[in-house]
Amino acid sequence: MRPPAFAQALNPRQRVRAAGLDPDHWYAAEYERALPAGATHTTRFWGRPITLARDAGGRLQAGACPVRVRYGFAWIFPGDPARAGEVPLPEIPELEGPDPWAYVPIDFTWCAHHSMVIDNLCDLSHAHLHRRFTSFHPGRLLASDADADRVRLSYEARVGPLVRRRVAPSPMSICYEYPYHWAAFEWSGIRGRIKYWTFLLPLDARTTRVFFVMMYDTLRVAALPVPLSHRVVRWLLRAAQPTVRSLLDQDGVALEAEQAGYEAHWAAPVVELNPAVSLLHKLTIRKWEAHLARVEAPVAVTA
Amino acid sequence: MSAPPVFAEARSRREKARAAGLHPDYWYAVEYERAVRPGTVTEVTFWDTSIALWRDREGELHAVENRCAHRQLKLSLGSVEGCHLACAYHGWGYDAEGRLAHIPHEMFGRPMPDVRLRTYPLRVRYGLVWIFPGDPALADTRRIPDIPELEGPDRWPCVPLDFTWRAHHSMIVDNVSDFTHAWLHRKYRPFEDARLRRSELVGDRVELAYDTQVGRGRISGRFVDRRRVNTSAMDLCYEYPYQWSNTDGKIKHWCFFLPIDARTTRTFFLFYFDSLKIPLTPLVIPRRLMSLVLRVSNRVLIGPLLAQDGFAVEAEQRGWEAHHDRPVPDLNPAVSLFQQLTVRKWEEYLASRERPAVARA
Repeated sequence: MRPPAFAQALNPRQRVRAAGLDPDHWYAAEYERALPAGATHTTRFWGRPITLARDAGGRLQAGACPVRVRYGFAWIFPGDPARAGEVPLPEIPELEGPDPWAYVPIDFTWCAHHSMVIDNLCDLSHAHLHRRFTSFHPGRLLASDADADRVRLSYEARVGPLVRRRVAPSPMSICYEYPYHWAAFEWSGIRGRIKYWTFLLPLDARTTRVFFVMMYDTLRVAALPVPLSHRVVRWLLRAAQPTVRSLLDQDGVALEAEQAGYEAHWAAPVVELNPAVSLLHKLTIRKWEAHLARVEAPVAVTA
Repeated sequence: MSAPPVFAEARSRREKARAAGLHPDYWYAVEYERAVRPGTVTEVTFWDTSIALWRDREGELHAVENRCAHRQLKLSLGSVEGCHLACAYHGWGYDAEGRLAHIPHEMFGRPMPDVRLRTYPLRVRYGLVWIFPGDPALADTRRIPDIPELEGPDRWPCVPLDFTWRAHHSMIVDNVSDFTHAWLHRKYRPFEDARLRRSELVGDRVELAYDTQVGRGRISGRFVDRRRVNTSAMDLCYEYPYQWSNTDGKIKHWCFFLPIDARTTRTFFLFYFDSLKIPLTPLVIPRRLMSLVLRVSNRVLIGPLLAQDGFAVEAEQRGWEAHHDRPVPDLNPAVSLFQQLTVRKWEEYLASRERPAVARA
């Protein structure tokens, strides 16, 4: 037996695992550089094929979807085109201006529902999975709160290349800024800020493309008189790329196993400790219900 | 082309046999004991039910439902941490009784969840791990087959082989018991000129007696000591859910089937010989050399011979899936007895499932 559809779901866990992402938002669909003039690329949004094409004049099109280019991505608006103008793209000031933060894009396509990816990104109680990496010691959940559009979490964590147990933990903020995710923290022991955004593209009910945008501010290393410039940090990041990728690969393995496990045991009782998880699920469910209410409402009312 | 019918919709005996599972209220060999080292976990599957088989640091083996109660990941993807089996993701650890016993991250102010996964009765015998996938209350009432030749200080040498074939278990039972397929093995000639002398369904056994020429291979035949062994007859038995053969009490084998799913079966073959002789001489191969001889013969003779069976049953499975609705011409009366038994046992199981548990206890 397959897991229930949204309307038939019996509990919030089944509901969130059947929910889509509200198409009335901008979604990163592809790297802009993957779409040179004359190129076409077909992707999907929640099962619906969408073809991105750039004509010889450099104009980008995505079938009937509004499309924009920003931060190196082609963004699509798969919902009601009339609403595209009123819905903003995410603002990432760190990537703008004359001296943007060093930035490394990484993406994965995982066979897992988008809500599992959000759980993974926001619930840091899975340090066990990454125990091989000594650079990541998430600590306690300090606070969580939610409003209509986001869930904000604050943790304490020890993160960075030179982490030792004795280093004091630093605060870490994580936000499910629907339908995006971002996290901001400081490298422990050395001074340097990190912020990363995660943009999810729900290809279908069990496949999600995940774009990470990892941004690093200048680094102040105690032994050095001047901070490392963005250019040096960028160079360091490229060197660290395989490590970051193999850490995120562990998440991919776990998420795909979770998807397979859910499909086999979706009727099993729900056991969950982290209160943040239920906040995340409530937001995803509420947004999907609002979307369904909008598309099912008579046209006369929405007009 | 429609898929073969499920058991409830099957009409003919053959369709029923090919859709039947094996009754879970028996002991099933699932893995070699040596394949599960201390501190490791592996996955075994009985009729679509996934089971994590793990050995703690003290060497004790355990079998548990293969899912973490938290996010349903297979525990076989996890690791053994001391006396717990830990899920790969959040590290939730389960003890030997399947109880959630350790959570390595903060508890968010909550008590330890009261979670207990199903565990399976487990035994080790003949170098194999045996699991009882059915009603655990019945585990002690059922026996793993007794093979006196394979136990004790004077046991016969035996080097098991196993194959995982894309074929329904009932096809493999047909294959190993129905000797009309000498044609397939004409190169190795393990049996020739078989004539079925007797076939009888007795309780949960199908007993067969063949007149046949056993072990006539050009090379293999030279190892058979025909002065001591009568190789002109063989007894066979589908002793549900196992199968064995016996040539004059001197050449024997058991087959243990693990039905992984409706079209995948792992089969453990245990051949054992009282003795073999050194070719071209009347001399018996000394017992302490037999393991080596059997290892070589598994590689060059029995393995390739059984691979022919694997080729045939996998082709039969594909043929069945394409042509299950075609009429069935089968000559060997034994085949219908195997199928009768397989179907009856599966019906018994389905009926036992419908009875309330109290009545079974």
